[in-house]
Amino acid sequence: MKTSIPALAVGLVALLCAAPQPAGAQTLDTTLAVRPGARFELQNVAGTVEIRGTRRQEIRIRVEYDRARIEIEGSPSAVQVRTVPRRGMGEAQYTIELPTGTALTVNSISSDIDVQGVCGEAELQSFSGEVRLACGQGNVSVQSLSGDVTVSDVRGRLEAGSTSGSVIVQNVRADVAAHSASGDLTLQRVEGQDVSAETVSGEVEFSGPIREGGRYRFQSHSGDVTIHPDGALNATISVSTFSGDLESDFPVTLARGRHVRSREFEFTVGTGSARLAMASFSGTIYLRRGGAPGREEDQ
Amino acid sequence: MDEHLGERLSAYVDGDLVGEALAGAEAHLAVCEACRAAVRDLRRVVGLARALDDRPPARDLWPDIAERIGASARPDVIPLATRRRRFAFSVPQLAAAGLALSLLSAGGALTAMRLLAPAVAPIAAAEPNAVPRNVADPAASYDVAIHELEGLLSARRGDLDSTTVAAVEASLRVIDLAIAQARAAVARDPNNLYLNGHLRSTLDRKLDVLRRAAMLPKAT
Repeated sequence: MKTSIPALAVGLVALLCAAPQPAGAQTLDTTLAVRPGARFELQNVAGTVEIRGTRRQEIRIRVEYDRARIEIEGSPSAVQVRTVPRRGMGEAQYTIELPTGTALTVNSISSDIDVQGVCGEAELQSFSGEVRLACGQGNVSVQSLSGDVTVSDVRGRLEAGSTSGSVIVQNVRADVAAHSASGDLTLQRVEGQDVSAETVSGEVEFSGPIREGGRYRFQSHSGDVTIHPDGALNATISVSTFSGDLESDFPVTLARGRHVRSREFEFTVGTGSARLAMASFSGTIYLRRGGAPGREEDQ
Repeated sequence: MDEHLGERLSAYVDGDLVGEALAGAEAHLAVCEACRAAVRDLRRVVGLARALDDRPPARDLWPDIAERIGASARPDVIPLATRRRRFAFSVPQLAAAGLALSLLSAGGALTAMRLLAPAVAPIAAAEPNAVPRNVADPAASYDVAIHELEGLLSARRGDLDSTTVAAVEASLRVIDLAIAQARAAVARDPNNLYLNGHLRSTLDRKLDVLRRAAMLPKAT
């Protein structure tokens, strides 16, 4: 079924009724014209969610679903879509186009989420699926409980986390808070004034500029922590470990009175205006010159 | 930092705050990641509750009714203008949400205590299963909260997706090992600021994982 609903002057709830369908997989294809700045929300259970940005001022929803029904509530300023499973077993495969800049919220239980080119505020969460976001702006949150998380091209403020999966953040100009319990945290080409990455058993890798006056905190319990400052480094650097080591390409000169313990100390590089804290309980902490490894290959 | 939003969180999420109360809440949220996280969690609970199976009756009554009144069978896409779903949280989900809020309050108090305290008290010395006498006993607060969330997760284990639960439990084992190592290190060096802070952050990570796991929706 294909439906097109024009924009309405006042907030009017869109009404979509699919004709009775035979049992098995069914499809829905509908397009809603929306105002600039409209919000979009999707709640899915199982299946997949693929969202792409478009220059058209309309939202197109294509979904193949089975053992479920699809609920759409819409107005020119907001569209909400829900998958409601029948007898607790439904799934839906969504392919959605949103106007660029749309603020979106996607929650799913076990479906992968893949969002590209929308470039607005985003709040994405899957409990057991992978979550990928390419392009966001403003407040962006990308979370999975047991899946991997990949985020790129974000401007603003980003929170990215997974419990057991890895988190990869690339090419962002944003304040970043990344966390995982047992996964690795890879932050490549991250430009932010306030950046943190914390994992328990995974490794932490960061590459990007350490900005004047910025705050950077990287921590693992048993994994290595590797920092590649890009460009000039002017930072007061604290190193904390219990049984790990430090390998630094920068000279480590301990200031008088600031040496707390042999495995917990602070030193300054350049003007020291930024605060860079690196900690690993039992892993090795690496402070490397020269920006991100593999940078040439990426460009 | 201002006091955490506490009970105002729910009103904020429901859109019930207006005027100065709303402005104050938004100002606090702008600087408080913990409260922003709590708002996100509450909204997710609301959102996922909408998406959950709405527990149809044992027998679908609509086909018989439709036949009698000459209407078509249940449409696949239903207009929501006349049919707003009520929110029906399970007891564990409500408990997890409530516990998350109480932890937030306790966390705020703990943060204040840390800021005000002249030195960080070692937390490994506290008995693991001690009941907190007051919020100033951070180890006991953590242990009780963790114990309650573990109980919630254990009680709901059969209702949850087994793959997700296995992944969560694997992560919890990793965290438990880290906590044990950190506790042992603090016991050896009770006044070490890094070790105490590291133990706290690892306990925080476990709380976060348990809180998220306890709020998992039922497997579909």
